[in-house]
Amino acid sequence: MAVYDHGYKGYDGPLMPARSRFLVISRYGLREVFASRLFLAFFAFCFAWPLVLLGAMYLRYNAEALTLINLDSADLLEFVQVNTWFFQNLFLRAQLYLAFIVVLVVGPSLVSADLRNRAMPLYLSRPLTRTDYVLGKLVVLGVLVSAITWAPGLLLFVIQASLGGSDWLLEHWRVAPSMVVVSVVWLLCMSLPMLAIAAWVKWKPWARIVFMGAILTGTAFGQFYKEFYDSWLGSMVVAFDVTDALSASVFGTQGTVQMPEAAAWLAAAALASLSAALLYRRVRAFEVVK
Amino acid sequence: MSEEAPVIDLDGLGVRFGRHQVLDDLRGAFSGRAIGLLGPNGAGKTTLLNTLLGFYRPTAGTARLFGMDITAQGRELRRRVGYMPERDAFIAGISGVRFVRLMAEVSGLPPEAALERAHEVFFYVGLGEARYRNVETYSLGMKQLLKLAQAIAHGPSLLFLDEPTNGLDPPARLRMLRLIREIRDSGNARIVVSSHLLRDVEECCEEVLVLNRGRIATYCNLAEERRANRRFLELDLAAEREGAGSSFRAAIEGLGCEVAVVNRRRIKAVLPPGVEVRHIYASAIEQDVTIRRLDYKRTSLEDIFLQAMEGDDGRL
Repeated sequence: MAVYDHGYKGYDGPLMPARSRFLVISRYGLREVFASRLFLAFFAFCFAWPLVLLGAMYLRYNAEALTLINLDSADLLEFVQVNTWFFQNLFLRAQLYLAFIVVLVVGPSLVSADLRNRAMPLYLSRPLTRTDYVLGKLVVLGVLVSAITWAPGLLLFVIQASLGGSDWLLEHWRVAPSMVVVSVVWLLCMSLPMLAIAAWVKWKPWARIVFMGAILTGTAFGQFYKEFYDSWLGSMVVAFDVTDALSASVFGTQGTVQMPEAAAWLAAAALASLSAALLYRRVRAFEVVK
Repeated sequence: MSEEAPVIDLDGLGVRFGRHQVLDDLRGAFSGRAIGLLGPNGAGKTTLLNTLLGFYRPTAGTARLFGMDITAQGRELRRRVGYMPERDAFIAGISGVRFVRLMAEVSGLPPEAALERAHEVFFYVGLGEARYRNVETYSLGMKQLLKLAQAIAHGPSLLFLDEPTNGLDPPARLRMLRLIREIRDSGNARIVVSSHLLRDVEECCEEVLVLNRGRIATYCNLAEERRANRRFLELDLAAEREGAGSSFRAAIEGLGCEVAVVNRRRIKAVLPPGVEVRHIYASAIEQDVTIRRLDYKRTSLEDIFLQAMEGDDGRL
């Protein structure tokens, strides 16, 4: 049917595979996110720290460059130890803070507007399930978080491995999968609660406030519990404690938080499951009033 | 999907929300090009649409669209269905054409085809000039047309329209009804219109299902009803001579008409097959009778609706 032919006609052309249909939502979501120049600038800023670390790694193995900038190679070797701690704390921890801001900024805009403007019946009247919808939105956050956490982390790891040689690689091979696992677990534990809150609150600024409020309240309560009862149980509601414990568990290092590994995993699983359940309750074509 | 199967086949369909039975044992098969769902507020029209779309799970029985079960084959069905919801529904922050393109892509169209279809349907519904505007800036009438555009963008075989003329001014309403009739007459899509406005349903539907308190109050084939109405006549007579009226009645009875006398000057007649109005006029001339007024019976949808509301047993 051409534009000038104003008549209704069905469509009998080719169709995209049903299994990847949720990626349409992700693609549109990402395009909307990057339509904001402010966000684009912030996202570019998120790569500054990995670039600094990349520079340090390069200088560490390049005596000529060190001479050019009048830096003593012994000082730098002492200062920049490229090891598990480097990737776990210096790189990943810093990037996860930035990822938190990304989730806080992008998360609410993905879901709350759809629910506020009653777009759910439009999505769900098509060959798309609620799982597809949630997955589509989650992929948006997944792509953004991955792009600033494990993806540059792996790049740094590969570069370091090429510079440090096979001995370094054999000693630190666990770092690469650990970065991916910690990033993905963190993504689920932050993104699902953010999306769930956005789905219930339906208003972006309020969703952000409630999310921050939940984290701060959990932290305050957890710290109080830890101090008052002298028990690690309080850490289970402190997001940063759980992240630290999980990270230590995955990287195989000594954590700063006195909390059993299993408890950290349990807290993360409970948070993600509860958030997913709450999100599912809200992502419906229509509310059923019983 | 079998095109020979009824468009909607209700098989004891029931929906219950908590203790509230919203739809109760709905049965019937409907095959018209445009099916109207009528009923007072709270009759279950929107719930029926939402159940057919798979938004609500039936608590009893089932339903089939084009022979496909709404529960077992929901995903495949929704690929062939277009839905225009009653209330405002859109995706904020994007242009109209982008919104419709997204909806077409979610329905499975490749990006290029979806973009092409989005432009086409915008021109088709008459919003061509506004397609690059943000959907939030659209007026109420434009939003209704936008909802129709997104519902037909992927070329569905079945179109569910929930209160399509809600909030429209008279010209916009006429435009919407014209579009619905055009889609119906194109033969490319069957239409189910849910409305509480009898006139709208009467203007664009061939079959009407009247719901009341979650049950089927009545079913009416408007096309057949209209054809049948053409056989019922009401005549006002003026006799030129004494006894002419009686002989005229006898004459048309002789043609095979059933005749009922209302009073001395007015009669009602049912034309048998093969007898046309011109035969009645011919008899009147022969019998020196003047027909001052001839009317066809006009059973409006309103009559059918009110009759259904008076006593319904919930069955067809």
